[in-house]
Amino acid sequence: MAAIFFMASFINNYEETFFLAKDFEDKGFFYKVLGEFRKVLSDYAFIRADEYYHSGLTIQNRLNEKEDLFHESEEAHGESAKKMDYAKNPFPKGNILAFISEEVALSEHMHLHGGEEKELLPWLYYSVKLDPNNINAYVIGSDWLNTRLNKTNEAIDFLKLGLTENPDSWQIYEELGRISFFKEKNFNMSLSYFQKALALQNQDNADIFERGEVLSFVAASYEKLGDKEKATQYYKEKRELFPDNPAVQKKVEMLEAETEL
Amino acid sequence: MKQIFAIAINCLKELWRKKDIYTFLVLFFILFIFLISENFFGIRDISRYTKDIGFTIALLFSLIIAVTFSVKQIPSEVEFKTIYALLAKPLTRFQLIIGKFLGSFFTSSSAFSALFALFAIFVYIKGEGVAPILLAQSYILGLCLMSVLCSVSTLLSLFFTTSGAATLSFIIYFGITWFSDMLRNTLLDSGGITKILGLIFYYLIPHYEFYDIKIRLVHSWEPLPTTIFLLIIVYSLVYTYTLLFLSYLGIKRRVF
Repeated sequence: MAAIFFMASFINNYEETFFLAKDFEDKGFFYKVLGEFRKVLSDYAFIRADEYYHSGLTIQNRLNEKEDLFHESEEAHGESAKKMDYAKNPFPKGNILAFISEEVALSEHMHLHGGEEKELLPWLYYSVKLDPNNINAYVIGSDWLNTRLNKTNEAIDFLKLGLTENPDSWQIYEELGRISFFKEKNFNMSLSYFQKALALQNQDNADIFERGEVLSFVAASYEKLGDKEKATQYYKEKRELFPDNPAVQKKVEMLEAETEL
Repeated sequence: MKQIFAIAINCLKELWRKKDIYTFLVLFFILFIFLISENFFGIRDISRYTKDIGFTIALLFSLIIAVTFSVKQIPSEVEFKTIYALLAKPLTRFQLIIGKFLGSFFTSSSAFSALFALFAIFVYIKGEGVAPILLAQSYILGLCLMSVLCSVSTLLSLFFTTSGAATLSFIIYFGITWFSDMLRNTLLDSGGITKILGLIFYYLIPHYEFYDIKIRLVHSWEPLPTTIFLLIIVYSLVYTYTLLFLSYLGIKRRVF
Protein backbone atom coordinates (compact mmCIF):
# COMPACT_ATOMS: atom_id res chain seq x y z
CA MET A 1 0.00 0.00 0.00
CA ALA A 2 2.88 2.33 0.90
CA ALA A 3 4.48 1.63 -2.46
CA ILE A 4 1.23 2.41 -4.28
CA PHE A 5 0.85 5.61 -2.26
CA PHE A 6 4.30 6.86 -3.25
CA MET A 7 4.01 5.51 -6.80
CA ALA A 8 0.87 7.58 -7.38
CA SER A 9 2.71 10.88 -7.12
CA PHE A 10 5.56 9.47 -9.18
CA ILE A 11 3.19 8.33 -11.95
CA ASN A 12 1.38 11.66 -11.88
CA ASN A 13 4.66 13.51 -12.20
CA TYR A 14 5.78 11.15 -14.97
CA GLU A 15 2.53 11.61 -16.85
CA GLU A 16 2.81 15.38 -16.72
CA THR A 17 6.39 15.48 -17.87
CA PHE A 18 6.23 12.65 -20.37
CA PHE A 19 2.83 12.00 -21.93
CA LEU A 20 1.52 15.53 -21.63
CA ALA A 21 4.68 17.18 -22.93
CA LYS A 22 3.99 19.60 -25.77
CA ASP A 23 5.97 17.75 -28.40
CA PHE A 24 4.94 14.21 -27.39
CA GLU A 25 2.91 13.67 -30.56
CA ASP A 26 5.97 14.45 -32.69
CA LYS A 27 8.18 11.95 -30.91
CA GLY A 28 9.09 8.65 -32.53
CA PHE A 29 7.72 5.18 -31.84
CA PHE A 30 10.55 4.15 -29.51
CA TYR A 31 10.19 7.32 -27.42
CA LYS A 32 6.48 6.74 -26.95
CA VAL A 33 6.87 3.08 -26.07
CA LEU A 34 10.11 3.00 -24.11
CA GLY A 35 10.54 6.51 -22.72
CA GLU A 36 14.02 7.17 -21.38
CA PHE A 37 14.79 3.43 -21.29
CA ARG A 38 15.40 3.62 -25.04
CA LYS A 39 18.72 5.33 -24.21
CA VAL A 40 19.90 2.25 -22.35
CA LEU A 41 18.91 0.05 -25.30
CA SER A 42 20.59 2.49 -27.68
CA ASP A 43 23.86 2.21 -25.74
CA TYR A 44 23.45 -1.57 -25.69
CA ALA A 45 23.05 -1.61 -29.48
CA PHE A 46 26.20 0.53 -29.76
CA ILE A 47 28.12 -1.95 -27.57
CA ARG A 48 26.84 -4.83 -29.72
CA ALA A 49 28.29 -3.10 -32.79
CA ASP A 50 31.66 -3.01 -31.03
CA GLU A 51 31.37 -6.70 -30.13
CA TYR A 52 30.50 -7.57 -33.71
CA TYR A 53 33.66 -5.87 -34.93
CA HIS A 54 35.62 -8.14 -32.59
CA SER A 55 33.62 -11.17 -33.84
CA GLY A 56 31.61 -11.51 -30.69
CA LEU A 57 34.26 -10.86 -28.02
CA THR A 58 33.02 -8.57 -25.29
CA ILE A 59 35.12 -5.81 -23.76
CA GLN A 60 35.64 -8.05 -20.72
CA ASN A 61 36.89 -10.87 -22.96
CA ARG A 62 39.32 -8.48 -24.58
CA LEU A 63 40.55 -7.17 -21.25
CA ASN A 64 41.54 -10.74 -20.46
CA GLU A 65 43.77 -10.88 -23.49
CA LYS A 66 47.51 -11.03 -23.19
CA GLU A 67 47.76 -7.67 -24.82
CA ASP A 68 46.12 -4.83 -22.93
CA LEU A 69 43.01 -3.54 -24.70
CA PHE A 70 44.23 0.02 -24.49
CA HIS A 71 47.54 -0.86 -26.10
CA GLU A 72 46.21 -2.85 -29.01
CA SER A 73 48.48 -2.27 -31.94
CA GLU A 74 47.35 -0.36 -34.99
CA GLU A 75 48.14 -3.44 -37.02
CA ALA A 76 45.68 -5.46 -34.98
CA HIS A 77 42.94 -2.98 -35.82
CA GLY A 78 43.96 -2.74 -39.44
CA GLU A 79 42.26 -3.82 -42.60
CA SER A 80 43.40 -7.39 -42.56
CA ALA A 81 41.95 -10.11 -40.42
CA LYS A 82 44.17 -10.83 -37.48
CA LYS A 83 43.81 -13.82 -35.29
CA MET A 84 45.28 -12.89 -31.96
CA ASP A 85 46.05 -15.09 -29.01
CA TYR A 86 43.28 -14.99 -26.54
CA ALA A 87 44.56 -15.60 -23.04
CA LYS A 88 42.45 -18.28 -21.50
CA ASN A 89 42.55 -18.69 -17.78
CA PRO A 90 45.05 -21.27 -16.63
CA PHE A 91 43.62 -24.78 -16.98
CA PRO A 92 41.45 -25.33 -13.93
CA LYS A 93 42.91 -28.62 -12.72
CA GLY A 94 40.32 -31.13 -11.63
CA ASN A 95 37.43 -28.76 -12.27
CA ILE A 96 35.75 -30.36 -15.25
CA LEU A 97 32.87 -27.84 -15.29
CA ALA A 98 35.19 -24.83 -15.38
CA PHE A 99 37.13 -26.60 -18.13
CA ILE A 100 33.98 -27.07 -20.26
CA SER A 101 32.97 -23.47 -19.58
CA GLU A 102 36.40 -22.29 -20.80
CA GLU A 103 36.19 -24.42 -23.92
CA VAL A 104 32.69 -23.22 -24.80
CA ALA A 105 33.86 -19.61 -24.59
CA LEU A 106 35.49 -18.17 -27.68
CA SER A 107 39.20 -18.73 -28.10
CA GLU A 108 40.27 -16.42 -30.88
CA HIS A 109 40.09 -12.70 -31.39
CA MET A 110 39.34 -11.83 -34.99
CA HIS A 111 38.24 -8.57 -36.57
CA LEU A 112 35.65 -8.13 -39.27
CA HIS A 113 37.35 -7.55 -42.61
CA GLY A 114 36.89 -7.55 -46.36
CA GLY A 115 33.41 -5.99 -46.38
CA GLU A 116 32.21 -7.96 -43.36
CA GLU A 117 32.14 -4.63 -41.52
CA LYS A 118 28.66 -4.13 -42.95
CA GLU A 119 27.43 -6.58 -40.30
CA LEU A 120 27.81 -4.02 -37.52
CA LEU A 121 25.74 -1.36 -39.29
CA PRO A 122 22.31 -2.67 -38.14
CA TRP A 123 23.30 -2.13 -34.51
CA LEU A 124 24.44 1.44 -35.18
CA TYR A 125 21.27 2.04 -37.18
CA TYR A 126 19.08 0.75 -34.33
CA SER A 127 21.19 2.71 -31.87
CA VAL A 128 20.19 6.02 -33.48
CA LYS A 129 16.63 4.84 -34.07
CA LEU A 130 16.32 4.18 -30.35
CA ASP A 131 18.05 7.37 -29.33
CA PRO A 132 18.38 10.02 -32.05
CA ASN A 133 20.73 11.92 -29.71
CA ASN A 134 23.35 9.15 -29.66
CA ILE A 135 26.02 11.19 -31.44
CA ASN A 136 28.71 8.52 -31.20
CA ALA A 137 26.55 6.14 -33.23
CA TYR A 138 26.22 8.68 -36.07
CA VAL A 139 29.95 9.44 -36.08
CA ILE A 140 31.14 5.83 -35.85
CA GLY A 141 28.49 4.59 -38.30
CA SER A 142 29.40 7.16 -40.92
CA ASP A 143 33.10 6.41 -40.45
CA TRP A 144 32.51 2.71 -41.22
CA LEU A 145 30.33 3.57 -44.18
CA ASN A 146 32.83 6.02 -45.59
CA THR A 147 36.23 4.49 -44.89
CA ARG A 148 35.61 0.73 -44.96
CA LEU A 149 32.56 0.29 -47.14
CA ASN A 150 33.15 3.14 -49.57
CA LYS A 151 29.63 4.47 -49.14
CA THR A 152 30.45 8.18 -48.88
CA ASN A 153 27.03 9.48 -49.90
CA GLU A 154 25.30 7.21 -47.37
CA ALA A 155 27.77 8.35 -44.70
CA ILE A 156 27.00 12.00 -45.43
CA ASP A 157 23.25 11.32 -45.40
CA PHE A 158 23.59 9.54 -42.05
CA LEU A 159 25.50 12.48 -40.58
CA LYS A 160 23.01 14.98 -41.95
CA LEU A 161 20.22 12.96 -40.37
CA GLY A 162 22.20 13.27 -37.14
CA LEU A 163 22.42 17.02 -37.61
CA THR A 164 18.67 17.40 -37.94
CA GLU A 165 18.33 15.74 -34.52
CA ASN A 166 21.43 17.33 -32.99
CA PRO A 167 22.03 20.70 -34.64
CA ASP A 168 24.58 21.70 -31.98
CA SER A 169 26.81 18.66 -32.30
CA TRP A 170 30.37 19.72 -33.15
CA GLN A 171 31.34 16.05 -33.51
CA ILE A 172 28.99 15.57 -36.47
CA TYR A 173 30.25 18.76 -38.12
CA GLU A 174 33.82 17.58 -37.62
CA GLU A 175 33.03 14.21 -39.21
CA LEU A 176 31.37 15.92 -42.18
CA GLY A 177 34.49 18.07 -42.46
CA ARG A 178 36.71 15.00 -42.44
CA ILE A 179 34.75 13.42 -45.30
CA SER A 180 34.98 16.66 -47.33
CA PHE A 181 38.68 16.98 -46.54
CA PHE A 182 39.94 13.45 -47.04
CA LYS A 183 37.46 11.86 -49.39
CA GLU A 184 35.99 14.63 -51.50
CA LYS A 185 39.01 16.96 -51.33
CA ASN A 186 36.54 19.84 -51.17
CA PHE A 187 38.51 22.15 -48.88
CA ASN A 188 36.05 25.06 -49.00
CA MET A 189 33.35 22.72 -47.75
CA SER A 190 35.60 21.10 -45.14
CA LEU A 191 36.65 24.55 -43.89
CA SER A 192 33.04 25.57 -43.40
CA TYR A 193 32.27 22.34 -41.47
CA PHE A 194 35.39 22.58 -39.30
CA GLN A 195 34.74 26.23 -38.48
CA LYS A 196 31.19 25.38 -37.50
CA ALA A 197 32.54 22.59 -35.27
CA LEU A 198 35.03 24.99 -33.72
CA ALA A 199 32.30 27.55 -33.03
CA LEU A 200 30.15 24.92 -31.32
CA GLN A 201 32.94 23.67 -29.07
CA ASN A 202 33.18 24.99 -25.56
CA GLN A 203 34.76 23.99 -22.25
CA ASP A 204 31.83 21.78 -21.31
CA ASN A 205 31.50 19.70 -24.46
CA ALA A 206 35.11 19.33 -25.65
CA ASP A 207 38.51 18.86 -24.05
CA ILE A 208 41.71 20.53 -25.27
CA PHE A 209 42.69 17.52 -27.38
CA GLU A 210 39.39 17.64 -29.25
CA ARG A 211 39.71 21.39 -29.71
CA GLY A 212 43.29 20.98 -30.85
CA GLU A 213 42.23 18.41 -33.43
CA VAL A 214 39.56 20.69 -34.93
CA LEU A 215 42.01 23.63 -34.92
CA SER A 216 44.46 21.49 -36.90
CA PHE A 217 41.78 20.66 -39.45
CA VAL A 218 40.78 24.31 -39.83
CA ALA A 219 44.43 25.23 -40.31
CA ALA A 220 45.00 22.38 -42.75
CA SER A 221 41.94 23.38 -44.79
CA TYR A 222 43.26 26.98 -45.05
CA GLU A 223 46.64 25.61 -46.00
CA LYS A 224 45.12 23.52 -48.78
CA LEU A 225 43.25 26.59 -50.02
CA GLY A 226 46.53 28.52 -50.12
CA ASP A 227 45.73 30.93 -47.30
CA LYS A 228 48.93 30.44 -45.30
CA GLU A 229 48.37 33.45 -43.01
CA LYS A 230 45.08 32.11 -41.77
CA ALA A 231 46.57 28.63 -41.45
CA THR A 232 49.40 30.03 -39.31
CA GLN A 233 46.89 31.87 -37.15
CA TYR A 234 45.04 28.63 -36.32
CA TYR A 235 48.21 26.63 -35.76
CA LYS A 236 49.30 29.37 -33.35
CA GLU A 237 46.01 29.00 -31.55
CA LYS A 238 46.73 25.31 -31.24
CA ARG A 239 50.23 26.11 -29.98
CA GLU A 240 48.68 28.06 -27.12
CA LEU A 241 46.88 24.88 -26.09
CA PHE A 242 49.98 22.71 -26.46
CA PRO A 243 53.01 24.97 -25.88
CA ASP A 244 55.36 21.98 -25.47
CA ASN A 245 54.35 20.22 -28.67
CA PRO A 246 57.37 20.41 -31.03
CA ALA A 247 55.35 19.33 -34.10
CA VAL A 248 52.97 22.31 -33.81
CA GLN A 249 55.90 24.68 -33.18
CA LYS A 250 57.68 23.34 -36.24
CA LYS A 251 54.55 23.71 -38.39
CA VAL A 252 54.12 27.35 -37.28
CA GLU A 253 57.77 28.13 -38.05
CA MET A 254 57.56 26.46 -41.44
CA LEU A 255 54.41 28.37 -42.45
CA GLU A 256 55.84 31.66 -41.19
CA ALA A 257 58.97 31.11 -43.26
CA GLU A 258 56.86 30.35 -46.36
CA THR A 259 54.71 33.46 -45.77
CA GLU A 260 57.83 35.68 -45.53
CA LEU A 261 59.10 34.31 -48.82
CA MET B 1 6.71 -46.95 -19.01
CA LYS B 2 3.31 -46.82 -20.66
CA GLN B 3 1.90 -44.72 -17.80
CA ILE B 4 4.87 -42.32 -17.95
CA PHE B 5 4.36 -41.67 -21.65
CA ALA B 6 0.60 -41.33 -21.18
CA ILE B 7 1.23 -38.45 -18.74
CA ALA B 8 3.87 -36.92 -21.02
CA ILE B 9 1.72 -37.06 -24.15
CA ASN B 10 -1.14 -35.49 -22.22
CA CYS B 11 1.08 -32.48 -21.40
CA LEU B 12 2.15 -32.19 -25.01
CA LYS B 13 -1.46 -32.15 -26.19
CA GLU B 14 -2.15 -29.38 -23.67
CA LEU B 15 0.44 -27.13 -25.33
CA TRP B 16 -1.06 -27.43 -28.78
CA ARG B 17 -4.61 -27.24 -27.40
CA LYS B 18 -3.96 -24.08 -25.42
CA LYS B 19 -2.51 -22.36 -28.50
CA ASP B 20 0.26 -20.51 -26.61
CA ILE B 21 2.74 -21.87 -29.10
CA TYR B 22 0.81 -20.43 -32.07
CA THR B 23 1.12 -16.95 -30.58
CA PHE B 24 4.86 -17.39 -30.19
CA LEU B 25 5.23 -18.78 -33.73
CA VAL B 26 3.23 -15.91 -35.26
CA LEU B 27 5.20 -13.33 -33.25
CA PHE B 28 8.45 -14.99 -34.28
CA PHE B 29 7.41 -15.02 -37.93
CA ILE B 30 6.41 -11.34 -37.88
CA LEU B 31 9.68 -10.44 -36.16
CA PHE B 32 11.71 -12.26 -38.81
CA ILE B 33 9.79 -10.64 -41.65
CA PHE B 34 10.46 -7.26 -40.04
CA LEU B 35 14.16 -8.07 -39.58
CA ILE B 36 14.83 -9.31 -43.08
CA SER B 37 12.89 -6.48 -44.70
CA GLU B 38 15.00 -3.79 -43.00
CA ASN B 39 17.24 -1.82 -45.34
CA PHE B 40 20.50 -0.53 -43.92
CA PHE B 41 22.03 2.19 -46.09
CA GLY B 42 21.21 0.25 -49.24
CA ILE B 43 23.74 -2.47 -48.40
CA ARG B 44 22.64 -6.00 -49.29
CA ASP B 45 23.21 -9.32 -47.51
CA ILE B 46 23.57 -8.06 -43.98
CA SER B 47 22.51 -11.12 -42.03
CA ARG B 48 24.30 -11.64 -38.72
CA TYR B 49 21.89 -9.50 -36.76
CA THR B 50 18.98 -11.66 -37.99
CA LYS B 51 20.76 -14.79 -36.75
CA ASP B 52 21.55 -13.08 -33.48
CA ILE B 53 18.11 -11.69 -32.71
CA GLY B 54 16.30 -14.70 -34.22
CA PHE B 55 18.17 -17.29 -32.17
CA THR B 56 17.86 -15.21 -29.00
CA ILE B 57 14.10 -14.90 -29.45
CA ALA B 58 13.70 -18.61 -30.30
CA LEU B 59 15.52 -19.54 -27.08
CA LEU B 60 13.65 -16.94 -25.04
CA PHE B 61 10.20 -18.13 -26.20
CA SER B 62 11.17 -21.77 -25.59
CA LEU B 63 12.52 -20.82 -22.17
CA ILE B 64 9.22 -19.15 -21.27
CA ILE B 65 7.27 -22.23 -22.40
CA ALA B 66 9.64 -24.64 -20.58
CA VAL B 67 9.51 -22.79 -17.27
CA THR B 68 5.82 -21.88 -17.24
CA PHE B 69 4.76 -25.42 -18.22
CA SER B 70 7.10 -27.22 -15.82
CA VAL B 71 6.27 -25.20 -12.72
CA LYS B 72 2.54 -25.82 -12.93
CA GLN B 73 2.54 -29.54 -13.74
CA ILE B 74 2.51 -31.01 -10.23
CA PRO B 75 1.03 -28.04 -8.29
CA SER B 76 -2.01 -27.96 -10.62
CA GLU B 77 -2.59 -31.70 -10.05
CA VAL B 78 -2.50 -31.01 -6.30
CA GLU B 79 -4.71 -27.93 -6.56
CA PHE B 80 -7.45 -29.70 -8.55
CA LYS B 81 -7.06 -32.88 -6.45
CA THR B 82 -6.42 -34.91 -9.61
CA ILE B 83 -3.21 -36.15 -8.02
CA TYR B 84 -5.30 -38.62 -5.98
CA ALA B 85 -6.65 -40.15 -9.15
CA LEU B 86 -3.15 -40.38 -10.56
CA LEU B 87 -1.62 -41.93 -7.47
CA ALA B 88 -4.50 -44.41 -7.22
CA LYS B 89 -3.32 -45.87 -10.52
CA PRO B 90 -0.45 -48.36 -10.68
CA LEU B 91 2.03 -45.49 -10.81
CA THR B 92 4.92 -44.80 -8.45
CA ARG B 93 5.73 -41.28 -7.37
CA PHE B 94 9.02 -41.47 -9.27
CA GLN B 95 7.12 -42.41 -12.43
CA LEU B 96 4.83 -39.45 -11.80
CA ILE B 97 7.83 -37.09 -11.61
CA ILE B 98 9.39 -38.61 -14.73
CA GLY B 99 6.09 -38.43 -16.60
CA LYS B 100 5.52 -34.80 -15.67
CA PHE B 101 9.12 -33.94 -16.55
CA LEU B 102 8.90 -35.69 -19.91
CA GLY B 103 5.65 -33.87 -20.61
CA SER B 104 7.31 -30.50 -19.95
CA PHE B 105 10.39 -31.56 -21.89
CA PHE B 106 8.42 -32.74 -24.95
CA THR B 107 6.33 -29.58 -24.79
CA SER B 108 9.25 -27.15 -24.63
CA SER B 109 11.29 -29.20 -27.11
CA SER B 110 8.49 -29.25 -29.65
CA ALA B 111 8.10 -25.48 -29.24
CA PHE B 112 11.86 -25.03 -29.58
CA SER B 113 11.96 -27.34 -32.62
CA ALA B 114 9.20 -25.40 -34.36
CA LEU B 115 10.87 -22.05 -33.64
CA PHE B 116 14.30 -23.40 -34.56
CA ALA B 117 12.98 -24.78 -37.87
CA LEU B 118 11.58 -21.36 -38.72
CA PHE B 119 14.88 -19.77 -37.69
CA ALA B 120 16.89 -22.20 -39.85
CA ILE B 121 14.67 -21.55 -42.89
CA PHE B 122 15.11 -17.78 -42.56
CA VAL B 123 18.86 -18.10 -42.00
CA TYR B 124 19.25 -20.10 -45.20
CA ILE B 125 17.04 -17.73 -47.17
CA LYS B 126 18.90 -14.61 -46.06
CA GLY B 127 22.61 -13.91 -46.01
CA GLU B 128 25.66 -16.03 -45.43
CA GLY B 129 23.95 -19.07 -43.85
CA VAL B 130 25.42 -21.34 -41.18
CA ALA B 131 27.54 -24.50 -41.28
CA PRO B 132 25.11 -27.46 -40.88
CA ILE B 133 27.20 -28.97 -38.05
CA LEU B 134 26.99 -25.74 -36.08
CA LEU B 135 23.26 -25.60 -36.66
CA ALA B 136 22.91 -29.22 -35.50
CA GLN B 137 25.02 -28.54 -32.40
CA SER B 138 22.99 -25.50 -31.43
CA TYR B 139 19.75 -27.46 -31.89
CA ILE B 140 20.90 -30.40 -29.76
CA LEU B 141 22.29 -28.10 -27.08
CA GLY B 142 18.95 -26.24 -27.15
CA LEU B 143 17.20 -29.54 -26.37
CA CYS B 144 19.68 -30.21 -23.55
CA LEU B 145 18.94 -26.74 -22.18
CA MET B 146 15.20 -27.51 -22.21
CA SER B 147 15.89 -30.72 -20.30
CA VAL B 148 17.87 -28.97 -17.53
CA LEU B 149 15.40 -26.06 -17.39
CA CYS B 150 12.42 -28.39 -17.01
CA SER B 151 14.10 -30.42 -14.28
CA VAL B 152 15.12 -27.29 -12.32
CA SER B 153 11.61 -25.84 -12.64
CA THR B 154 9.97 -29.14 -11.65
CA LEU B 155 12.12 -29.33 -8.50
CA LEU B 156 11.43 -25.70 -7.56
CA SER B 157 7.68 -26.14 -8.10
CA LEU B 158 7.62 -28.69 -5.26
CA PHE B 159 8.88 -26.18 -2.69
CA PHE B 160 7.56 -22.81 -3.89
CA THR B 161 4.32 -21.43 -5.24
CA THR B 162 3.88 -21.62 -9.01
CA SER B 163 4.73 -17.96 -9.59
CA GLY B 164 7.60 -18.11 -7.08
CA ALA B 165 9.10 -21.16 -8.76
CA ALA B 166 8.79 -19.57 -12.20
CA THR B 167 10.40 -16.33 -11.02
CA LEU B 168 13.23 -18.20 -9.33
CA SER B 169 13.79 -20.31 -12.44
CA PHE B 170 14.11 -17.20 -14.59
CA ILE B 171 16.42 -15.52 -12.05
CA ILE B 172 18.67 -18.59 -11.94
CA TYR B 173 18.75 -18.82 -15.73
CA PHE B 174 19.56 -15.18 -16.40
CA GLY B 175 21.87 -14.89 -13.40
CA ILE B 176 23.98 -17.81 -14.56
CA THR B 177 24.06 -16.91 -18.23
CA TRP B 178 25.00 -13.28 -17.48
CA PHE B 179 27.45 -13.82 -14.64
CA SER B 180 29.00 -17.21 -15.43
CA ASP B 181 32.29 -15.70 -16.66
CA MET B 182 32.63 -13.61 -13.52
CA LEU B 183 31.79 -16.61 -11.35
CA ARG B 184 34.34 -18.83 -13.06
CA ASN B 185 37.09 -16.20 -12.88
CA THR B 186 36.34 -15.48 -9.21
CA LEU B 187 36.53 -19.17 -8.44
CA LEU B 188 39.81 -19.63 -10.28
CA ASP B 189 41.37 -16.62 -8.54
CA SER B 190 40.20 -17.50 -5.03
CA GLY B 191 41.90 -19.66 -2.42
CA GLY B 192 41.33 -21.34 0.94
CA ILE B 193 37.84 -21.75 2.34
CA THR B 194 36.39 -19.36 -0.26
CA LYS B 195 37.61 -21.68 -2.99
CA ILE B 196 36.10 -24.75 -1.32
CA LEU B 197 32.72 -23.05 -0.82
CA GLY B 198 32.93 -21.60 -4.30
CA LEU B 199 33.60 -25.04 -5.77
CA ILE B 200 30.62 -26.56 -3.96
CA PHE B 201 28.41 -23.76 -5.25
CA TYR B 202 29.89 -24.06 -8.73
CA TYR B 203 29.10 -27.78 -8.90
CA LEU B 204 25.56 -27.31 -7.59
CA ILE B 205 24.32 -24.64 -9.98
CA PRO B 206 22.98 -25.55 -13.42
CA HIS B 207 25.53 -24.41 -15.99
CA TYR B 208 23.25 -22.79 -18.51
CA GLU B 209 26.21 -21.06 -20.14
CA PHE B 210 27.27 -24.40 -21.68
CA TYR B 211 24.34 -24.26 -24.05
CA ASP B 212 24.94 -20.77 -25.33
CA ILE B 213 26.84 -21.11 -28.59
CA LYS B 214 25.00 -18.22 -30.20
CA ILE B 215 28.21 -16.27 -30.82
CA ARG B 216 29.68 -19.22 -32.74
CA LEU B 217 26.45 -19.45 -34.73
CA VAL B 218 26.22 -15.74 -35.47
CA HIS B 219 29.85 -15.13 -36.36
CA SER B 220 30.33 -18.51 -38.10
CA TRP B 221 33.04 -19.68 -35.74
CA GLU B 222 34.18 -23.28 -35.67
CA PRO B 223 31.81 -25.81 -34.10
CA LEU B 224 32.42 -27.02 -30.56
CA PRO B 225 35.01 -29.81 -30.29
CA THR B 226 33.25 -33.19 -30.29
CA THR B 227 34.58 -34.16 -26.83
CA ILE B 228 33.25 -30.95 -25.27
CA PHE B 229 29.94 -31.34 -27.09
CA LEU B 230 29.53 -34.90 -25.78
CA LEU B 231 30.60 -33.85 -22.27
CA ILE B 232 27.83 -31.22 -22.24
CA ILE B 233 25.26 -33.82 -23.28
CA VAL B 234 26.44 -36.19 -20.53
CA TYR B 235 26.38 -33.31 -18.02
CA SER B 236 22.80 -32.48 -19.03
CA LEU B 237 21.65 -36.08 -18.60
CA VAL B 238 23.34 -36.48 -15.22
CA TYR B 239 22.13 -33.11 -13.93
CA THR B 240 18.56 -33.73 -15.13
CA TYR B 241 18.42 -37.20 -13.59
CA THR B 242 19.86 -35.93 -10.27
CA LEU B 243 17.27 -33.15 -10.02
CA LEU B 244 14.43 -35.52 -10.90
CA PHE B 245 15.61 -37.90 -8.21
CA LEU B 246 15.71 -35.00 -5.72
CA SER B 247 12.17 -34.08 -6.82
CA TYR B 248 11.11 -37.66 -6.15
CA LEU B 249 12.67 -37.47 -2.67
CA GLY B 250 10.76 -34.21 -2.19
CA ILE B 251 7.36 -35.85 -2.72
CA LYS B 252 8.22 -39.37 -1.59
CA ARG B 253 6.66 -39.02 1.84
CA ARG B 254 4.52 -35.96 1.22
CA VAL B 255 0.85 -36.18 2.12
CA PHE B 256 -1.18 -34.28 -0.46
